[in-house]
Amino acid sequence: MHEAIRLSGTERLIFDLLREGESFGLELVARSQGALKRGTVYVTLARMEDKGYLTSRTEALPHGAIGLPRRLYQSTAYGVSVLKIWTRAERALTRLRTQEA
Amino acid sequence: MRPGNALHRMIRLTCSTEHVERVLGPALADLQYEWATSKNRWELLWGYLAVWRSWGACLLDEATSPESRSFGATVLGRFALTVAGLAAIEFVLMHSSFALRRQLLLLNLPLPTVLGRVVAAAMYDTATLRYGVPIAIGPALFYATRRTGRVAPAVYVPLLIFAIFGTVTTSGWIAPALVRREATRQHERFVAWAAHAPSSSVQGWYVPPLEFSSFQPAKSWPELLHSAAEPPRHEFPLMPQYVAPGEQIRPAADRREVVERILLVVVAVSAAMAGATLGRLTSNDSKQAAL
Repeated sequence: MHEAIRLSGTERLIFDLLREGESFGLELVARSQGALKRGTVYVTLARMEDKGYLTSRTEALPHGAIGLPRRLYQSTAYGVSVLKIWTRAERALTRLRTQEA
Repeated sequence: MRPGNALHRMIRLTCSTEHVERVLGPALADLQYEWATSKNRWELLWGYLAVWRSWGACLLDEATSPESRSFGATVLGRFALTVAGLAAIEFVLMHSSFALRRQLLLLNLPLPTVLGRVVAAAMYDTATLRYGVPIAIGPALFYATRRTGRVAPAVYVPLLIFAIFGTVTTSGWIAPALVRREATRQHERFVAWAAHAPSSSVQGWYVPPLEFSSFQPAKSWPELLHSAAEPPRHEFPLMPQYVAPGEQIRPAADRREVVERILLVVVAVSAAMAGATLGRLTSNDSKQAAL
């Protein structure tokens, strides 16, 4: 059985931040102005990757550099489509609720 | 040396490769990059807090996965079986026949100290609770690890906590409560018998009230720690300099009991680690890898 497709507020925010292109986890936290927390962003990014919304690659370290390679995240075409459909559905539901009221 | 390298090694020991590569590795890499560019100690501290939080989330995720839950259930089932087996052995050897138990004690065998203490503890129905619980986690982990093969290392964390918590609880609260109950029951029976003792006077024999201050196995953790820190008491107001012999040795005996209970926790952790290591070495996964 397929898992229901869901898009949380944090995931939508990450999509918004990734609209400009590839980004590191720490950059996303800095650009979110406090909306994303450092302690949870990496778990959320990994889950989004599991769902197929994002793709990631490790940064190529310059020759002789020490330390761990950083990871760059990017939205997938599927992720962008899910975001579009989700936003459209949300708008439609809001319109329906307004009409019912 | 860059910050976070030691933490990275610890993380690799406790979490699965997938979590290390996809969650904790990126968090540590960003921490190292931030430190290299800003050298700000506060930023570094926030970075560490973020990594620890992510680490906690990964440990929780791995420890509560369906495979881990199944592994944990197998361990707990085997643990309960082992404790039940040890309790049965204790009952057969020590409680089925009062004569056998008395003979064992009267034999005055030159038993090693630990075995002597086990026999003494068995007198009060506590040998399994005191010594069996910390040991039983070893065979339980051995069986489960041997059967399951590789499991996420995080699953061992709650099991180790269970072993420590179980040992502290059984040796520090449940066993002393049982010892007290049994001693009180025996004392009450003796008092009832002494009141009508055949050779007694009209008043019956005087039986002093039950006193647990010099009886370390009957003390719970708070009582034991409080008593170990208390200097010997002067119990006789008319002889202010006199300290009863039992009272003179009480603080040292209390401290020995504290050390012994801490050693039981060490035994539990060692048994768990030995069981898991042996189980992993003899598991089918290991054998196939060796081939």
